[in-house]
Amino acid sequence: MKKKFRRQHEEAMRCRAVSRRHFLKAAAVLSGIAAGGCGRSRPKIFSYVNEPEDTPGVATFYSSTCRECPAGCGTLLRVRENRPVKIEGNPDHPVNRGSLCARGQAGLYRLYDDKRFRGPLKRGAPIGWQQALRSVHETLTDVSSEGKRVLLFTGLEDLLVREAAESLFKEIPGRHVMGEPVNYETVKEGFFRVTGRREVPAFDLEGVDFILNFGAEIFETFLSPVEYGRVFGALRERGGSAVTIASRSSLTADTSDQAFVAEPGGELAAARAVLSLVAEAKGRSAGSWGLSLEEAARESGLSAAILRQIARALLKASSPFVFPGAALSGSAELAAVVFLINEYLGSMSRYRGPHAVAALASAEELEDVAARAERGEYGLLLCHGADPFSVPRLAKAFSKIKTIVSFDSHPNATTAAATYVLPADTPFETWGLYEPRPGLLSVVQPTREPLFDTRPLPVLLAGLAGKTFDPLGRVKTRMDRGDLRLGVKESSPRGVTRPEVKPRWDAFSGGGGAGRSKEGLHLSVYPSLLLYDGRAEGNPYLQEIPDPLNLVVWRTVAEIHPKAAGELGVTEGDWLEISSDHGTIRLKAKIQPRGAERVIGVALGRSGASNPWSLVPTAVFPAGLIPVSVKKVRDDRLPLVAGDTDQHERRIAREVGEREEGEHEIDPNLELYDEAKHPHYRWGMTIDLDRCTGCSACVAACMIENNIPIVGEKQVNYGREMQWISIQRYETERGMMSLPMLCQQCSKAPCEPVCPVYATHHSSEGLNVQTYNRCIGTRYCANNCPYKVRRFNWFDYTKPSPVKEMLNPDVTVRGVGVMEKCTFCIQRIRRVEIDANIERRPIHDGEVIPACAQTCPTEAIVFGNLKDENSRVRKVQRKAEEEGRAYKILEFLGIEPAVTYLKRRRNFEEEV
Amino acid sequence: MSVIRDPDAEKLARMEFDEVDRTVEGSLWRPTKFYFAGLAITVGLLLMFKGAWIDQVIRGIGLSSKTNPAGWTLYITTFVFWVGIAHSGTLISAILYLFRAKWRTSIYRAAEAMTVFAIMTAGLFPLIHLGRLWRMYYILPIPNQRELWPNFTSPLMWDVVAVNTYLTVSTMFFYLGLIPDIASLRDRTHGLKHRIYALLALNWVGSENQWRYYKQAYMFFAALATPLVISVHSVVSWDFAVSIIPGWHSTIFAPYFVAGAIHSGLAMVLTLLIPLRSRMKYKNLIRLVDLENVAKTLVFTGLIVGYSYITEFFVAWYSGNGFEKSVFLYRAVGDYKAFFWTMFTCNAIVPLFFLSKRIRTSIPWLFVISILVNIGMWCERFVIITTSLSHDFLPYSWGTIKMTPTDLMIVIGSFGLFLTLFLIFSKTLPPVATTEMKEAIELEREDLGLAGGAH
Repeated sequence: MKKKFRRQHEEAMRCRAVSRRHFLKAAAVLSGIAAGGCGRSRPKIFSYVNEPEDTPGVATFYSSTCRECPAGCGTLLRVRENRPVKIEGNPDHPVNRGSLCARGQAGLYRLYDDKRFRGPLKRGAPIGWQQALRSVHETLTDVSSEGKRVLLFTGLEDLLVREAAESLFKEIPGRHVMGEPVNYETVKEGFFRVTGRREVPAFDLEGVDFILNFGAEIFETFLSPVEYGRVFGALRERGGSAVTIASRSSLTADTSDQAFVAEPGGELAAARAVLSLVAEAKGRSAGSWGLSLEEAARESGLSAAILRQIARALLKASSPFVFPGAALSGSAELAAVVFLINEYLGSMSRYRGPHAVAALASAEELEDVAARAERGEYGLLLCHGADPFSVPRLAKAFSKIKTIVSFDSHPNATTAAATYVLPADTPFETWGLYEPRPGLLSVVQPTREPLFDTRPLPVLLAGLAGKTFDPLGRVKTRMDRGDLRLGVKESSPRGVTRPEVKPRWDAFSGGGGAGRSKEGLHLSVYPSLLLYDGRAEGNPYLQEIPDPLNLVVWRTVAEIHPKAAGELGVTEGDWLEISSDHGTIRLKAKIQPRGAERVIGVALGRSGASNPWSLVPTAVFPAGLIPVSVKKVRDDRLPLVAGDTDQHERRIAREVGEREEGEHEIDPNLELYDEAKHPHYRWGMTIDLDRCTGCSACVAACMIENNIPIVGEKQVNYGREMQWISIQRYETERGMMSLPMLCQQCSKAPCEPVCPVYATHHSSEGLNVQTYNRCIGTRYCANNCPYKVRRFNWFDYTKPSPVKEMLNPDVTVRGVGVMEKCTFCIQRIRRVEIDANIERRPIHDGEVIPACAQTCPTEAIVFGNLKDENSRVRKVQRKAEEEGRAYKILEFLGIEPAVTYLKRRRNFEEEV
Repeated sequence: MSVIRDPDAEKLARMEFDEVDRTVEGSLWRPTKFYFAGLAITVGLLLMFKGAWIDQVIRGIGLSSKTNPAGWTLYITTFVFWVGIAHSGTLISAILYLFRAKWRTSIYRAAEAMTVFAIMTAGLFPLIHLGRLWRMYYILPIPNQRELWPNFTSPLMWDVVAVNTYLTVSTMFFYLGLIPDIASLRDRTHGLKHRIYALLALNWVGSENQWRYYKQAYMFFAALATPLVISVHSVVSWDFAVSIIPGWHSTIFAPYFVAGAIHSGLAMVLTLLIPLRSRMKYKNLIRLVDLENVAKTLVFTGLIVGYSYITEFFVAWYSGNGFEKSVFLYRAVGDYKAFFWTMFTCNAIVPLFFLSKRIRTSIPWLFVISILVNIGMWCERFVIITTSLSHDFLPYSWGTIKMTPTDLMIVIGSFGLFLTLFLIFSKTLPPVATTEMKEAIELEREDLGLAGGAH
């Protein structure tokens, strides 16, 4: 017994004892690991030295200004852990009042674009800032010794950059030119002919109840589209109407109560006839600008009766406003006539001063700059924002300049040609001050330290002259702390007076419109809704949002009338070669029946063989339409995101006054199942089709808020797009409608009973909830959804670094094999609910607003608690029901969607 | 005593028992070059199947042809196809047993094997089409640490239950029927083969008690398997019928699918038996008259299927429901019309050729028509599933699909799995039920009043 115990004891001791050798071995290994952990610098999580109010998990909002176009909408940036993750409109900003367009929403990508320059480059090779700046200084010395000048060529820059440029050119000989393709020169010239002031006027459009528009793309890209969207929403509330007379079909035309198709260039004749009628009614003179109804009818293609009806509507309206022609294909004559009509209608009293775009260079100035460059006058070209090398005329001229420095933060044609790239901060990382119109100062505020090794542009410019520049200091001298919080400072504009109307009658070239001939095809170039003039081409979000007019992604098409297509033997998708006197472009054809027969529409913005710049010899597009010849090159197909735009009488997109026969009856006794119980809240929406312009701002906002993956052209064309909300386009008896379609959060959702694992089920607040972790990807729910709003992750769509940092931390990122769909921004609902629970109160109406509703410029989407009879959504719903406008899509299925659509009204009907 | 004698029956009665044994058991093992060549092809297809599936799991389900709006395309089509084929085997072995049909005896074993292997292949497809295969255990109704049950209102859950039940019952029924034949093989082999057969034979000695229990059990299984033929495919059809999609939401689906299942299964039986009987020299066991009876049943099921097609079209028009009409018109003249017309011709029209005795007694015709019917039945499921999804309520969401290499490799490769299993079976277990054949011979002799032969 004893022996056994002793043996066991010894064995036990052996097991427990650690031999000396063993101990030393372990110690060596462990200390090695510990040593490896030291000495490496910890990556920075919080980048501020003095922490502001930031709390991890709670968002801070910073006011700033969007710089994607000259409109200057105010923004609020939602910052989480020192990373901006969402842009929204600033509700206190007079331009946009809380809304933001698609380009503004997707503009956040600019900060996180993985194609951005990480630091300075010399001919593509990375160098340090010290070395780069030294080299540029040396170049400056050479330039001045050779007696040459410096050219600073930028887009429309803010006040700080302009001031820095001014101070730079006090020291060294040179010139700052701000050149953009969309420079509204025709509007400037037109205003000059009426008032003697060469400016693009800004107007206060509050209270307008009738809009007449001669082709200006006011809901898409024209000057300040979000502002005009807001105006349109209010106009709709008031029962007003909008009429478009244009030769090219557009979203603006489709949204108007009536769109009259004008002959190419015929908008001018129509405008002149309207001027004659309005002038006559008001006892004023139309001078040599008037035109008889018969002649106008002949030249414009609109009948005399319609012209009379439009004039009458203008005169009857209490607050009418007339917009000029399209941004790139309008004419100065048309703009002049339009401003005179506005004057006679009394709308000139809305004048607020020159818009910031007035500072953009005219065609003459750009030609002068190009000619000087060709003569060898400039030894150094500094560029930012304008990308002149994408314009053939400027590329030709500027390639003669010996040294090119680009301050762009993203690669483009100019940075490819540049000797040095000194990347400047993006607007999210730097201070700035933008003044859309006099008296309105809008701040650009940084939300984090620069992501890469970049510097503020005004500091760089002033530094070239050896001067310092303090952006924050300059901002602070003009705006106090309260203004900075608000983001905007409005004061009465100094030196702005109501313009005197003195029409220059003689400045008319006579009949007809610029660039119009009776025969042949004409090209109408217009800024792209999503890419604008090309500055947003590198943004995959904007590429993947379907163009609402043409229903294509990642592509520009030539919009051609079916008659013209028939004559050329062209079907949709065929490759066309469009040639002017100066060049040729190649695009696929898209059949667009709603424009003039002889007008082909091509959007500006995409580089490559489809870029319309190749067709013109100048640095801006000439006013009016471009005569072109078209021929078919090859047969092909055009994949569209829409299966069919014909509704096949299914009454999906509805208008007031359509035929009632064939209406599906809804049997109230068909209820087999119990009503769903929602004790406290039942979230719902109304979508007013009267107001939806199809601008797709909601789509962009949703993509950014909910971490929607980008899948690429091929996958989208196969049907695998991932956007949770889509703008569906349907033909109605009287035109085309835009229908935002999203998950209807049905009370009796057909997707719920068929999921084998309960990954989708009904919440107590009325939402159809998708549990990503539980989903095994059988896709039965998507099959059973009649609206087909469910999206499946066919692959793992990982975002490259640093785009990953743009992901909203409140929303799960979904992996492969998981189904997703619109959640009514449940993350926002939950956040507000938590706060409300802490404060022991119910959620107030308007406290929760999903991303789509938040950004809609026309306020077409209203969200709220359907159980609260006093909520805005219920009020809108009730009013619509009284007016007979409320309906639900596919209501006869008995699935009880929570989204009520409001039928579109046509407040302007062509009199028979 | 009858004066007019059925020559086939007489031939059967005059067969000796050991002729049956020699023919069947002598054809087992001893693989030929031809067999290896066939096995090489089927194993090649099987490897292609596995490779494509593994690739799909690694790279994502997006490699298949599914998309919005058609979330189910080839994989579910093939799933229903294989389940359908399985039903015919059970029809022949269980239902015809209860009806005491004589022509079933020689073919039922191969048909049952077809059932078991088809249902095994079919059972893989609901896993193949999953987006997250590695989480498939969420669908199993077993107590789990998540404390979550699956959703029993979902037809996919019913599928899990139905297909698994069918697999279990068919396999056990198959095994039960094999026991006396395996015992007979045990007695004729040596070495390793003997030991394996001995293990499988479960101590079968052929005693009277054993026979009594065996017959009772067999009868119970046949009775148990019979309703499964109807119920399992009805449940599979309800995957579609309980949804709201026009073209799917239809009460005719249960009988329509069951008839179609038997139709395709019978055709597959012909496709398998014809090469089997010629290569393994079973021509006097699996007689032409047996195949002819299969062909006659095919005519019957083909008529039911044709009637179902016509009913669906009629109801779509008669209902006045625009959505329903639109889908059916799309099937006939839309993007997938090639599949639709193949389906209609091969399933409803081609089997009518079997009304001619000359055709249904000609082996080449039997083989060709059976292949056509199978192609047609696959197309039928494809048409039902894919066209309805591609053309549903909102015209904006309409879209088509393009078959991808992964899709095709998995679908065609599934035949590799099935045929490999069948080929291995045909050389290791008796493809003709020797015991029952002998019983049939005995019964025939009694019928014809011939002397009871000894064996």
